[in-house]
Amino acid sequence: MSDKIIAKTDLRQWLASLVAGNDVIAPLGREGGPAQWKAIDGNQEIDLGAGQMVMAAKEYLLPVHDVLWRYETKKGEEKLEQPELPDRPTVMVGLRLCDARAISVLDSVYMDGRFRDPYYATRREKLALVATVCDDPRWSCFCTSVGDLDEWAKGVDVLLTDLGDNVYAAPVTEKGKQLVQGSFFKDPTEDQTKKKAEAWEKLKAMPKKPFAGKNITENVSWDAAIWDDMAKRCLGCGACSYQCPSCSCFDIQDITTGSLVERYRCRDTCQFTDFTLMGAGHNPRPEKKMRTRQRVMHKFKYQMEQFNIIGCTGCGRCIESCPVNIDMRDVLTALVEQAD
Amino acid sequence: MSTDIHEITKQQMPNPYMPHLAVVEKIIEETWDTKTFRAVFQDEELREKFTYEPGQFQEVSVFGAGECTFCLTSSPTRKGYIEFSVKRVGVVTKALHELSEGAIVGIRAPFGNWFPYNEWKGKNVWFIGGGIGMAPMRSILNYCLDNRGDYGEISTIYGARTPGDLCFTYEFDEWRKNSALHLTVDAGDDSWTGRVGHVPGYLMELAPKPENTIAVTCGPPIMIKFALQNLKELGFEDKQIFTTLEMKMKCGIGKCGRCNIGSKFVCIDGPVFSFDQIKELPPEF
Repeated sequence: MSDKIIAKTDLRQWLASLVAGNDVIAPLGREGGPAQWKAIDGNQEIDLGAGQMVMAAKEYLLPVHDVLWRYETKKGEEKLEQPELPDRPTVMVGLRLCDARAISVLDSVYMDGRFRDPYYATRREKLALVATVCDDPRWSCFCTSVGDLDEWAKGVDVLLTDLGDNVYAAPVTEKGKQLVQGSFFKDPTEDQTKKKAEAWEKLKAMPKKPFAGKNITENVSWDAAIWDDMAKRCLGCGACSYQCPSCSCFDIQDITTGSLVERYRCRDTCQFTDFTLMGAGHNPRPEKKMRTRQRVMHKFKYQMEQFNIIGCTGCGRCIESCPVNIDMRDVLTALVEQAD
Repeated sequence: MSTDIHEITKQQMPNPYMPHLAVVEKIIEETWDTKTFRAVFQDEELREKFTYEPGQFQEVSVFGAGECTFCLTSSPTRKGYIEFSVKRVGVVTKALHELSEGAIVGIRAPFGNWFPYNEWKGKNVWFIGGGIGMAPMRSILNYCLDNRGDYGEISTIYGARTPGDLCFTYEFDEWRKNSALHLTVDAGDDSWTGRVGHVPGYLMELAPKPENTIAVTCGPPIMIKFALQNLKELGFEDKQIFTTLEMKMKCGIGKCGRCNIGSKFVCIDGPVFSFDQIKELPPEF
């Protein structure tokens, strides 16, 4: 693909040109809180590297309140309708690579050949991903310990690398090539290409955790002692899965306003007791230990068996959001050490 | 199976989250806490074309109250309507119990796999059910009876807490006509002249021979546990014994993440499993 260079001063112009033909979603700052994915009109100042603690990209693909249908009875007439889904192409700009990888995980679940989720798939098929190479990983990051970044990079449409005054834009797909268009894009110099490669190697050289390179799937054991340790501390708040870019379990609820019934899906987590509680009172996972085990095993074993993908991208959100400092890196280390 | 078993679902539900509107045509009071609903799709074309397999399940919506998972308790051999039996336990089941005939409900169906009745042809089939566990077995039992010539001996052991807790009593005569029906209750009453005792014990007394025989069991976990032990003692192998699993479900298509046992989802890999398949799953049951 033909790689390009754009001056940072021209970024706004590029985004404005994208806005002309697409809905563009980018991380926008919010006072006192993490940045959020918002539609931009081309006039906002966005920081392409600000994706660090942004809410995960599932915010767009799996909205917190996702209306499935509306049912209304008026004068004895029933009306059941599906809400309109976006029909414009959409570009997500400023993703971290880990969050882009999380979309690959979500794709396995929601575009899975056995059943295609029509709401997710409609959004996803119109979506292009413009990711940024991290130049300043956070203390909680461990992407290089759970995955192969070269492989992950194949899942985006354009990969941007910050070179100081300029941004190196590498289209990965045909869709991405269409996005990297305009007079403000120049051909990169040899030096710029070299710097880009260095930035990539620097990211990949991020210090690895003890479990890196081990087959975590084989080491995640049902009887591991770590499940008890986790359960002793875990409050069952579910912050880890709400923030997780690849956790995708949902609840389905009805909301009634007058004669209108709206069915929507919203976030849910396997960390809640009532997640699996059945009407008659039986619960297959009544103990916290069973629920912490479920979450880790789902990511590292079950999703591997089901889709041949690890359901964790090492983004570190669960580590930063856990109120009792449960650290996924420690959990994985313990699993690997126990197996050794 | 090489073909897509979910084709039947996809064909009848282009958007698997959109229910089909149906009218509750008939409500049968089975017991003090259980009712069977017969629903007919509003769309005439769908009513004619709609098809499912014995063992599959559905998601029933009471608009505003929510949605609940029930097995299809009717047999696909009996066209024009579908049935589901509901024990009153929670919000949605309570809302269902409050409905009158003529009410509109939403139905998403059919989901999941089904009993491999073609592989059972020429074999004897024993149904071992307890309580509301008879509901999913009624579909396959009636299916086998409607194709009576395809199967050998068909026997049913059905137990409930009291005579008043037995469901489908209005079909007992029909079942007795072409198959054997063995009833038992945990505690009888003044009018009960039948057997008193638990299902697994009755199974040992009746002692079906494992040769060329399939056993299907569904009921409370404790009953299944002992029925299974006894079947093994009688010489049945795991692959001869089938059940239909129950787990909390929402979506029905393997997305919402509730009903997994390991990497298997009860909604799309089940709900029907043989016990040799269950043995491969993590010990979550």
